[in-house]
Amino acid sequence: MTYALSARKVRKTYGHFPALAGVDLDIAPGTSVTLFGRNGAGKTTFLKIAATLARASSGEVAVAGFDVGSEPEKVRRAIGFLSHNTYVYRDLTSRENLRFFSRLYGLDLSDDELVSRLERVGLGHRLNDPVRSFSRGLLQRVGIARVMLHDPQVLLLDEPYTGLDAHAVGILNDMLDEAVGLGSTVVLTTHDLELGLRAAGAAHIIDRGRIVYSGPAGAPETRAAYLRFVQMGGQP
Amino acid sequence: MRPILTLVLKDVSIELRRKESVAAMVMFSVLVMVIFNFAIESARLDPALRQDLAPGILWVAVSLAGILGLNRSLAIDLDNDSLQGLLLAPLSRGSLYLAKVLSNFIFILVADAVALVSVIVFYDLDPNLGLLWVAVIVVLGTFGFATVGTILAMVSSQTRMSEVMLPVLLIPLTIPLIISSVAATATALGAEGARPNLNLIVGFDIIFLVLSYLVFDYVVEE
Repeated sequence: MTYALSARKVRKTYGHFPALAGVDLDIAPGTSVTLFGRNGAGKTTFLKIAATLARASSGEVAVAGFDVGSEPEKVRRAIGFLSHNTYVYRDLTSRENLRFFSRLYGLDLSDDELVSRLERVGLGHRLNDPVRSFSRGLLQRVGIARVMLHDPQVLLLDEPYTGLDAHAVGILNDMLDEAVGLGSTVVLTTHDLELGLRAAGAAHIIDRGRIVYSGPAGAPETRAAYLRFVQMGGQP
Repeated sequence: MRPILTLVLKDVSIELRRKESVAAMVMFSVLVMVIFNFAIESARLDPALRQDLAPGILWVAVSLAGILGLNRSLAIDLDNDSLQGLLLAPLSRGSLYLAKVLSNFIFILVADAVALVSVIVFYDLDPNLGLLWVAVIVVLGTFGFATVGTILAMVSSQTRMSEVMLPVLLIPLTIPLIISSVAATATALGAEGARPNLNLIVGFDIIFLVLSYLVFDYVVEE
């Protein structure tokens, strides 16, 4: 079976600090998985390695069947990565940003198609405004439109709900549900237990660079583990 | 090739709106020319000696304005962490580097053009075939400057004192290029019909373009 994301003994150190201390994880295609963890637990580092933004000190990571070390461009074509930073250009309009990123992905999207993508995230009325004038939440919506542009097989979302109002959270959730329905895989990190468990099939908790709990998202044990490792900081 | 053009067009489009980098470089190169002109006027140098100083002054203006522009070159990509968005695109890191070199090359060339016109005016240079050679030397020298400057701007952007670090790293590395460019410019402006030696400049351009292309991946990764 080709996993959407597969990690074997992944370690990452910054100087002497071990950000990841041996992560093993397999995520099946077409599923939604949430990674919970405290600040500094290693969630973002793990997603960055999967997204080819950082290199693991040791271990192996494959995304959509492609090794992140030896086939990074194939990995990048297969993924969509969104964090609390939206990575869009503030001097360009929302429409220009989408046009620019679509061309980078080799897509020939028509102007109507770009407009429709922006309308989908509720930005139909701000198509021609520089995103510099956007609020944090509106910026995140442009980021959501950007990450969905090429219909990625695997969505890696690092705290995607940051700065979103309830309406935008609803839009993002609808888009994620639709993506999973169409066979994409969603891997998201969040501190918010309810948002994290909402549509997830499985939940994993990272603490001090290791996966310390894996279980079905709906299981009572998952909430207990969240309480222990995330809210109480891993203290017994 | 298309992604590289897309990236360059993005940089040009944003620069046309912000008007920061090129405007600063042009202003700076003109100021350098004016200051040198005042200094040389006050020394009451012989006109022939003034013309002998022109190649050196031209390259002082080109390199200092270039450093100023290179220091600003990554600002648009570091604002809102947009560089990460580029690193997530299905392109080789080398393509990102080449696009940035081209953008920087274009921006610095604009300042070079103004510096070249200024040096012709201030130092009474005759418009002749030698000036065409000077233009070729400026293009080749600026390309070499952009190849090294782009990768060093990326390195220095990750340090605390990036605006100081870039010239500290860049000037020593480009000394062979600047010396060769000044010598070639002096030859071109000297005896009528003299052909400047461009071998070292072209060699520098090729070597640093290939080396920087190969190591750029390691410079941008965490």
